[in-house]
Amino acid sequence: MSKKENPVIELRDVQKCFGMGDCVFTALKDADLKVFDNDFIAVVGPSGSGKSTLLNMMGLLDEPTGGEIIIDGIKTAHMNSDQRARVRRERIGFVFQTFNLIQTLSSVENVEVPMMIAGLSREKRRKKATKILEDLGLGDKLDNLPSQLSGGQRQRVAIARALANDPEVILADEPTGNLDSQTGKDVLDIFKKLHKEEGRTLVIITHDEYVARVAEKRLRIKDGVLHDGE
Amino acid sequence: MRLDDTILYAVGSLRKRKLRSWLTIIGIIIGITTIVSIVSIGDGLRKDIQDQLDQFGSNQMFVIPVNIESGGLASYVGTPTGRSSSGKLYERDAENIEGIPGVVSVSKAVYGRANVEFKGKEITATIYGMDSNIFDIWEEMYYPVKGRVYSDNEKRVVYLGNDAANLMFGKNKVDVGNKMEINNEEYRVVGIMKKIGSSMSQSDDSAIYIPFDQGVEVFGSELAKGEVSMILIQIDEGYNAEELKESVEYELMKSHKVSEDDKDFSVITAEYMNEIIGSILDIVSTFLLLIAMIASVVSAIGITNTMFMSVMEKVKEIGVLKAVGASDWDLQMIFLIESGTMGLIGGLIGILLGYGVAYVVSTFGIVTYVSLQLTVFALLFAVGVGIAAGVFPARRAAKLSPIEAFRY
Ligand SMILES: Nc1ncnc2c1ncn2[C@@H]1O[C@H](COP(=O)(O)OP(=O)(O)O)[C@@H](O)[C@H]1O
Ligand SMILES: [Mg+2]
Repeated sequence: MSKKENPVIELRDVQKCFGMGDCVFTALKDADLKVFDNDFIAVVGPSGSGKSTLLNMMGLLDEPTGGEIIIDGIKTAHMNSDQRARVRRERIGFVFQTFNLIQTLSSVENVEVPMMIAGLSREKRRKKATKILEDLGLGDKLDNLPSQLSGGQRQRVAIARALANDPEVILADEPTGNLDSQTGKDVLDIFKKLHKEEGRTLVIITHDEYVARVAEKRLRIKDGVLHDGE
Repeated sequence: MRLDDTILYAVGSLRKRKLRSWLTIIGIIIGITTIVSIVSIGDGLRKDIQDQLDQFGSNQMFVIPVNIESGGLASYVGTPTGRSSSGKLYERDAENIEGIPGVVSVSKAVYGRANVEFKGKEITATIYGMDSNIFDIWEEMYYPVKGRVYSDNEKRVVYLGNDAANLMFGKNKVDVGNKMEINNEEYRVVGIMKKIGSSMSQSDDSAIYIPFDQGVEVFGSELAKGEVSMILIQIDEGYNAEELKESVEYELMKSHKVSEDDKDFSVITAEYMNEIIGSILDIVSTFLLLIAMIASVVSAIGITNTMFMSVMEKVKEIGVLKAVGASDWDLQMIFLIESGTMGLIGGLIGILLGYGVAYVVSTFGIVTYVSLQLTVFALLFAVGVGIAAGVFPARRAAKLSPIEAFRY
């Protein structure tokens, strides 16, 4: 299968500048990157170095101002907003620093959202969401609203949501950034387990060396420039 | 996303944000209630005038001592006594008209204001001295609920409008057989009219009728010898009202010694009345349309505003939904259903409240009418404006990248 040969995500000379019309500030400079199936990559860099910008490019959450992003061998440059949404829905799971749960929905409903958008039947998605949450130790919090959960629990709901549509890759932006060190460790353990036991492909973005150490491969980013290396 | 899920999601999100949803719906209710109640008053006025017009049959006409075409109408309508400064009609005019072929009957009327006393309470009321054949011509309108109408040769008898009997003398209701005084002369009540109930005919409900000769006695000092205030003509079915009108005009011009151009009277037929009132109705309609449009614009702004606030609170949610793969279409449908539902609920409640306001207003004697068109318009307006006001900001928000939307 060609799927195995292609990188899940490939960035070629990706550039992102901010500013109205012209390039006032370049947050990401000529980034080249390949994420293969089964990778567990950490991108480390100080605050403001362009980490989130990089992740947003990889996840098609924002459009680059230069270069190419190729997902599963498919070029994305000419995709419209709906085609990009479809790629996110089917292939990518996101975990954000601020969780980004929908406040009016319960844990299980939040996890169901990506499956609902994908058109899964109500029974199937309820069953699957419940199972994922139970696996993450939230079996007793299914009907809690995000406001009724601790930070660590919220992030686990967010991870469950990222897993909902069985994505090829999970992109996590400072997933422990808003958590105390113990809950941060718990969340990292979940990522490790997802990689080891389920063979999930993960990209974690962090400013924290300790967090980066759980990954198998580390990339560094500084002033928008991406380097290989430890 | 499947349609049933879209609907469930949209409705669920309304229910989960009850306060915001109701605030938005209340905004819509206020707008729709305003439209419905204002337009119902206008439509009521129109319908009332139209109903009056319809009562006036095509085989009737009347003569008033003023030239409407030369602009005398305003001054005539403005004087409660109906005394014209421009011309006068006389009993002999009525007799002349009666001789015209095709005229079945003619009734004369004198009217004015006079003091009326009943059981110690004294008021000023409009008194009509009228030939009794008017009660045959407009049998339906002048039908007695109690007693009977008078006949011409009776003396000191009075026939009362329904309000005149039941409302005008405070808690003392007048009954058949009672005595009352008009200009200090004692009259006996022979009958009470059924209620006409429309606002234009308020004067009829509160009017007091006495035989023509008695009217001449009451208003004699104000009138020239043989003067009448109005002449009503009933014509034969086989005759054309417009042609007969010309004969009547010719007859009157001859005896008044005036030319076509300086007529001191007007002969009013149903067709003519339709013409004048129709043009007034057109002005009224245009004016009402304007008011309805202003009410609509004001309520549209209100609806748009609350809806916009409601969408703005959800920009972050839009970002989340986009990030996990919702298409622009999914988002549009969610907001279409959300805002459409709020529009529908707000519209329905607004219409009901509008009916309520229209009813309350009608108890103050102002005729209101909520037409089917108005109801349908109000509902479509509520849903349409609701959807437009909800979907446009949502579309704009959906155009943001998820990352931009997260920042809200
Ligand atoms: N929308 C934006 N407009 C302008 N500058 C931005 C925008 N987003 C990010 N930046 C800038 O780009 C740089 C990289 O940002 P980011 O990728 O968020 O950094 P990190 O996630 O590593 O902290 C920062 O200097 C930031 O100020
Ligand atoms: Mg960041």
